[in-house]
Amino acid sequence: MNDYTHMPDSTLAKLALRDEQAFEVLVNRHAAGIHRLAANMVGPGAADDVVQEVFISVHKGLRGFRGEAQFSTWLHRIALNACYKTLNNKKNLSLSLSEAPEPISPHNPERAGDQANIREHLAQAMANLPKDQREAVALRELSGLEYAEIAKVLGIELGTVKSRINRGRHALREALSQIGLKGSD
Amino acid sequence: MNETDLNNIFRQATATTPADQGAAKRFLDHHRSRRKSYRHRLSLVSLILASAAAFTGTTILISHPNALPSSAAYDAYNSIQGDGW
Repeated sequence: MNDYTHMPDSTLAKLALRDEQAFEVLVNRHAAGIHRLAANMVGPGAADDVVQEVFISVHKGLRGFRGEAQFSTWLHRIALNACYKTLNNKKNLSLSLSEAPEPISPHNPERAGDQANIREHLAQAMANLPKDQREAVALRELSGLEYAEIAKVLGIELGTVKSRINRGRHALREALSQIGLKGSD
Repeated sequence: MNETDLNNIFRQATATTPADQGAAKRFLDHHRSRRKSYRHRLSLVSLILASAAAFTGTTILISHPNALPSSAAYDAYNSIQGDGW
């Protein structure tokens, strides 16, 4: 890798139109976060499909990205759309734990299994939220975006973002209580 | 379940896993292979088109071994200026 690794996303996005190495730096920088978001929205087993969909869309759409929005804002909008597409393609939304999840950790399988379990249950609960709350909660709690950036991704007011997150968290607490999921300290 | 419990669940769910870390490599492996296959198909199509052009040119040359057909513009020029340049 050369100096590309130190460049901001907006510069890389322009270079990536003609330079595969710039595109690969963008992928290396963001793929883990997109995979984590997807694993918690559609389940760990389908997260790779979302990652494929997202970065193929990014590669195709780079010519249309003018840099007026932040790259991260654009990327998260694409990621949410890819998650919905994957959810719609899934015949059975209520994910079964008998579905074989992808290999997670060779070092601590018990803990990795716990985490896969949490992600599966969280994905189930998230899928049952209304779409507007699900998007806001996912961007805040799973991707760690600031309220202002969430407002840009979703095209809504800051106050609306906060209220959707509050309502979504409340609904999630109830849903996760019903299935008996409890996070360890 | 209270707010702290929910925050703990989010904290555990968003802890980066080896599967998250390997996502870029898995995507790029597929991406490179797709591009390689696309380039291969593209060069194959170019080769076929070039061969077809060469074949057509050769066929025309063989079927008309003598003079090339004169153009209407050249005939008009000759009728005004006489033969030769």
